[in-house]
Amino acid sequence: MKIVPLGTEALLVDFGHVISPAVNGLAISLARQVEQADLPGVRFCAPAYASVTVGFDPRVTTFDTLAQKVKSLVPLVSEVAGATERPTWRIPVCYHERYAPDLSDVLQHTGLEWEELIALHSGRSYRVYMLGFLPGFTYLGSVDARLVMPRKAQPRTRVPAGSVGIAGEQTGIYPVQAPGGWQLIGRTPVRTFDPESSEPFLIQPGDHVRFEPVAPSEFEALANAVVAGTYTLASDG
Amino acid sequence: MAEVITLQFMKPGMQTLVQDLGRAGCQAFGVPVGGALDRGAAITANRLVGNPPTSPLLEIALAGPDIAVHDACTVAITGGATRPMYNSQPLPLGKPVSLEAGGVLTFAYPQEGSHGYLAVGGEWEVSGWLGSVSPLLYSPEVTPGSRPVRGSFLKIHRRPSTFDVRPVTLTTDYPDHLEIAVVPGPELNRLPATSIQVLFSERFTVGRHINRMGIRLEESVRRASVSKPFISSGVVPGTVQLTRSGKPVILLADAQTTGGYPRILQVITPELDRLAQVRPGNTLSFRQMTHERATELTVAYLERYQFPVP
Repeated sequence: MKIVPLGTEALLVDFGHVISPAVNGLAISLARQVEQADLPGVRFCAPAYASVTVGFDPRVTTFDTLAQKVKSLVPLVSEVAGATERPTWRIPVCYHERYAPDLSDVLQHTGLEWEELIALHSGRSYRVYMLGFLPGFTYLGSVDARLVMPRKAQPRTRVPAGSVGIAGEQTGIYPVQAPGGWQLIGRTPVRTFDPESSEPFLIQPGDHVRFEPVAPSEFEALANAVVAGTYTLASDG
Repeated sequence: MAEVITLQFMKPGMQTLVQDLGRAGCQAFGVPVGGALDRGAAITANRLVGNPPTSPLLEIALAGPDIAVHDACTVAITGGATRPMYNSQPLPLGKPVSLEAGGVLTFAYPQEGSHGYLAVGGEWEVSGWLGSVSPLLYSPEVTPGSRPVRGSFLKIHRRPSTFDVRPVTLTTDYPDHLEIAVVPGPELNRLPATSIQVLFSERFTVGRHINRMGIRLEESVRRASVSKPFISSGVVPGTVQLTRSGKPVILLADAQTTGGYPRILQVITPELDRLAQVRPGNTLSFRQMTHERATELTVAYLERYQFPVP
């Protein structure tokens, strides 16, 4: 682990070049520790795959002071890592080609049958490594090796909200309509980002996500329930 | 005088947005800071009309709006040389100006700079989200009042000014070439020495596509792509990423919160205001500064403009 400046108003705690649940757990736990410690001058604290960015006001604290304080919180991380149970969210996804514009490309690239793709993608629970790219965009990993797909050479200018995509070993859910280059294999009717809610970001780093295949008819019914406000995202634990 | 000042957009202009100093603290959820690009100009405009630094105001990009002023009010205009006029009479920049009711405020296409700021004295009635009115790029419905459209209104409540007004510093010079002070980014040492030399000696041209997310530069630092893949990690406004093509990108206020490219440089905070005013075709060069000196300048900048303390 090393702590380096990211300009004059942020520092970066870097746990190395590795994607693993253990290292990511360390980053997420440290971020929570920093937040709870309520250190003077800290503006924000954001965990990523294997790092934590801490923004600060240099009028209130210095890089050296803050780096020391953050460092002192690291030993506590091992104690809390795994101590807090995080939920597993169940996200309904329709893998029908109507909602999966890259389905044929993905099937061709992977050599999988459609049913196999569904079984592989929905057959495991994914770790939420981080949120980024868009408000509430979840970076989930890792997909089965047979599902690994490069990003699209030409990103789409419009990816519909709820689209579920694959990029490399990652899978993710587009919280809103936005441009994007992930290979789209399905769509969820659920909104993972609800700005009007008191908790706009239901899914948090360190949580898990499991995709549950639904038929197009069920997708429509769920979409209506979401619009009507009668749908609640389900989780275990 | 009416208690509420009403302004109406006859036309919204190319990209006129209601901004403030953005929302800090939600980066962990992928929410960019947002806020005015040229924060010095924005705070100055607000200060001139007696508003606090965090007050909303209009950020006007290049082609400005036409605004019908239904009630008398005090305005101040700063930033990129927008040429404001009231009923076709030129208005001075960087001064509080009293406007009579019933006229139309227009902005001639600016000669230099790219973002102007219009502050109106009083409390703005704009709905915010997570502490800021700054619009989210792909979720405009979150702050519906922040993107004026033809015919839409702005309501500003008169109030006695309580802000302690200090003398203002005005920037009026927007040269075609800027030397930008930077400190090394976390991955600068991944570059070969020859590329680092290029980075600090070359002039870079501002690309055609600049927006509130970032400035793309047209020259490559190196031909070959940086070989090792890079795991997404935190970025902040001012982070200079080296894209796969070898061309640097300078991130601005609406940039995403994490990035998958090496962070080769970090533009020091006060320089972001100057970067907010560049235009396609302008040139930039990077000048390395010690972290100590960069911190001094950042602190001086935050103090000069009285940014709120966390």
